[in-house]
Amino acid sequence: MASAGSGDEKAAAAAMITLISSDNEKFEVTEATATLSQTIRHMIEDGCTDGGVPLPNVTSKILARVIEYCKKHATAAAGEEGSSSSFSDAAFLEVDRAFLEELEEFDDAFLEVDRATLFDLILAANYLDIKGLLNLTCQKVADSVKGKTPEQIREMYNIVNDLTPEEEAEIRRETQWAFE
Amino acid sequence: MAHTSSSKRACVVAAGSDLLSSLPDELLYCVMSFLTAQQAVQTGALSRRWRDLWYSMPCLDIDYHKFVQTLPAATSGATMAWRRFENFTANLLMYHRAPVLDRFRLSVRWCGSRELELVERWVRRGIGYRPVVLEVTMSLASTLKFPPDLWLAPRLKRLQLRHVLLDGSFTGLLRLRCPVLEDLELNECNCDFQEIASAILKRLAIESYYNPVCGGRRLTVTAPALASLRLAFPRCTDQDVLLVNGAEFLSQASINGCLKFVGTNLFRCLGSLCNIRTLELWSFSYPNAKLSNKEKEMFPKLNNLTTLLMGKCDMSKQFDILQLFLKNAPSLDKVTLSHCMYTQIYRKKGTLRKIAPQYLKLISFESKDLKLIEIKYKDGNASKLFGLLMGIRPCRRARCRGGGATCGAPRRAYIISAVADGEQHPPAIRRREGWERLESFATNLLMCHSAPTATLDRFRLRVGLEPGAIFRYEYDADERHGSVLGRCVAKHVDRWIRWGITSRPAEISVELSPELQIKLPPLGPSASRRLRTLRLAGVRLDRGFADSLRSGCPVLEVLEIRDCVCDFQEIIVSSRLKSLAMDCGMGLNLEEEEQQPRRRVRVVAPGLVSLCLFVGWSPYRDGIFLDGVDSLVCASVAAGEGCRFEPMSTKSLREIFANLVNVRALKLSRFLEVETLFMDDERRVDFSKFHKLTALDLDECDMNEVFRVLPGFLQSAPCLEKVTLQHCKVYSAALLHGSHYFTVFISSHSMLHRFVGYLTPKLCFATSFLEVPRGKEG
Repeated sequence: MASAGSGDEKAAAAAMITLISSDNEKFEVTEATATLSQTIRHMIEDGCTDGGVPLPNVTSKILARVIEYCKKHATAAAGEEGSSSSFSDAAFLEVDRAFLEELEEFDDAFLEVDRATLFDLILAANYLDIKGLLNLTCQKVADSVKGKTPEQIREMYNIVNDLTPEEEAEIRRETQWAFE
Repeated sequence: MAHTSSSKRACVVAAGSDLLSSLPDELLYCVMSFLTAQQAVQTGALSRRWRDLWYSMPCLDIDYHKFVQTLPAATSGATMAWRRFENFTANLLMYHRAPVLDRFRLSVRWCGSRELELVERWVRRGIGYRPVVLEVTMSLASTLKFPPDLWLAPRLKRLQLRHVLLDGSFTGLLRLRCPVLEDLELNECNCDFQEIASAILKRLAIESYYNPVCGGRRLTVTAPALASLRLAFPRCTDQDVLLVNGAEFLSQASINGCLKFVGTNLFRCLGSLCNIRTLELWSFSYPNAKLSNKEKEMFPKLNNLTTLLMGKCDMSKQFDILQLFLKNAPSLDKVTLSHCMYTQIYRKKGTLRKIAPQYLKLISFESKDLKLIEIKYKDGNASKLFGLLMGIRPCRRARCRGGGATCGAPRRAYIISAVADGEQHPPAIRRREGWERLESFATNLLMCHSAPTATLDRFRLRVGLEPGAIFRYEYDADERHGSVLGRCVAKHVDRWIRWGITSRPAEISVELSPELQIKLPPLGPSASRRLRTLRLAGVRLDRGFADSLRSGCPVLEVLEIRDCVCDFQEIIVSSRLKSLAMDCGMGLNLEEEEQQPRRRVRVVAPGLVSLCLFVGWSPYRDGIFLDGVDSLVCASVAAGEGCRFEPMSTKSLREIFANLVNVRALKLSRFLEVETLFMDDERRVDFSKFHKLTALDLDECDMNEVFRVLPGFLQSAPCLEKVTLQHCKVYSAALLHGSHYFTVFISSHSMLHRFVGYLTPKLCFATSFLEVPRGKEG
């Protein structure tokens, strides 16, 4: 099984996929990079990637960032086959730790973007079905609201409070146990 | 620089639109999955968009530690935190309505015996959600047994347990009940099983730095699909602790074994890991300084091994082992020595130079592919030593993993024990058990009841505790001698009622023992929108209740208030209300009665058809004032047992009777002094109002009074067709409190014939039950 896997990897490394953003910019990526996206993986499996994969929901700016993420994490996935679990982010073995830390550093730097880009990345990760990127970006949003009161969150994300004072009072009453 | 410009831009964007709320539900769920459950619920107050999201969020992360953190540093912090945590969790699991979960994470880390039951219940509830990922963390000394009796986890892929009790049946159940489990992690669990066998398990981790695993006996792992394995039980001293069968797909393993593990046993174990690529060996030492040649021959060939880590080993004895690895693992390209000691050299610094070249030789000659030797250290001297040994710059990462972890959970005992009614008092214990059974049933029911629609048709709750059933419990240092069961009961009942209200039922019926002194939670406007019937008994009602009746219950048709302590002065309801039944404060205790000013309650119910009043010891001594009840066709007035009216309430009752102009059916119950009701100040009977009365029902009244008043009734109610006397008593004043009554059926009692002359032609006597004292029968 291991030998068959490595053979595939070599073939995959050679194969290149063209991704086309919504503004018609073309990106050449390796298949290993592209298959981090489940959406593209299914397209490859169905053999409908000839002539490029059009991604009408993703702009070139966002796609470039997504590809940057995928490149980094594709090498990680290839190097640590089987070790990365979809359930747990913690390092399973000590020897993985340094490697995962390096990835983490990359991720932290990667997330240094403005809010609009962050939300575009979330939408792109969702559309392309890249679980790691989706979790990463959603976690970034979650971290930003952690420990904040509803008022602070509203202010931070410009959420319009369309609840009437009675409704809000009722919600607070009903979920008073969560505000203690 | 980049940071400031990006944040500036973020502000510009934020001024534009609400990007967060515009995300689709599943992405908001994804964001919420990274929040604690507490904060996820709080997002419900953000806006309409967020209001109902948390009810169906697919990941619940419930962490006791968060409740400790949010507390100000107070003395009774732990108790307070636990109480909040318990309240939060019980509510969350009751209200949260997703049918299935992706992840359920419960971290308690503090647990007494009483709490254990609650935690068990939460865990059961968690399993009931059929989560894909289940994580349960208990405290160090907890005795939570897993799994609970009945469980089935058809979707469970990852199970992580910390500090729980696992008996011999655990692994068998795991195989039967978790058909898709791929990832199992047991940390510091008290394990009492000897085998883990699974055809689909891919990742397995068992760590126990404190407890001896498997009671020191052998553990066999049979998992042909296993790819990753991490085992750590340094306390274990058994030679045969580990056997791994058929793990040909195992590519990475970490073994933090027992002290005597290394040797032939290790070699046998390694032999079964023939395809291993990454191997970590932690804190072991070989008892003998030298391996015999026979032992060396037993070392298996590890053709795929590329990465080896030896951690916390005493290298003075393990060079032989390392040498064997280097010899038998041709693909090895990275060796890491992490926090290793070299006691011999450390003691004799003079021998440094002698050993170094020997070791360098070892590395250069034995292994051709080796690219990197990495040394991690904590101790400065050791690092220098290895730096010399290897001739390479040691890695400066100083991280410690392993047995040094401390558990910060408070371990204060949390004991509940019966004080007054102890073992010698079986009824009390029965009552307590009764309550516990009820509590368990009700909480589990409400927790697991997730009606697909968020509304109920009827919510009915009856908690009847006998007087004195709430006995005293000793609780905790800061709450000595409190009536804890009482508070505990009240807390749970309150929670159930809240649940009932939020499930927006058309009918709410709550009947409690007044002893509990539970205040009715507010009926929110949305909760009471569908409410048609509201029956309350034994609860406390405040002004907020009256307000919500006035403004919030548009379709309320039936209202019943009995045995309630009321703190409002008017009931104003819509014209939809057809039926009203109320009494005033039977359960009021005297102290409070003294404090309450005498007031009257005003009832405005324009559409009322049926009225039922219970008159007893009322906080409203000035009585009840009915406003606009011309629509009434049916009225019933019942007095409290043995109630004699004070002048004020008599006057008030008279007013009420004066208002019943359109009433067609009237029932009077338990009036011992009927006469006074119908006499005005000049002791003149005034019955002119009952034009439309067709049926009169007298129940449990004193016959002497009835006889005196009935003629007046019959005279002034021209339409009267039917008079019913039920359970009426004939007794003289001396027998008033007599106890020997029996009921006889009398079809035409001689005494009733006295009234024939007053009967209208249409009148007939209904079946009458007369209660006559035994001695008077003749």
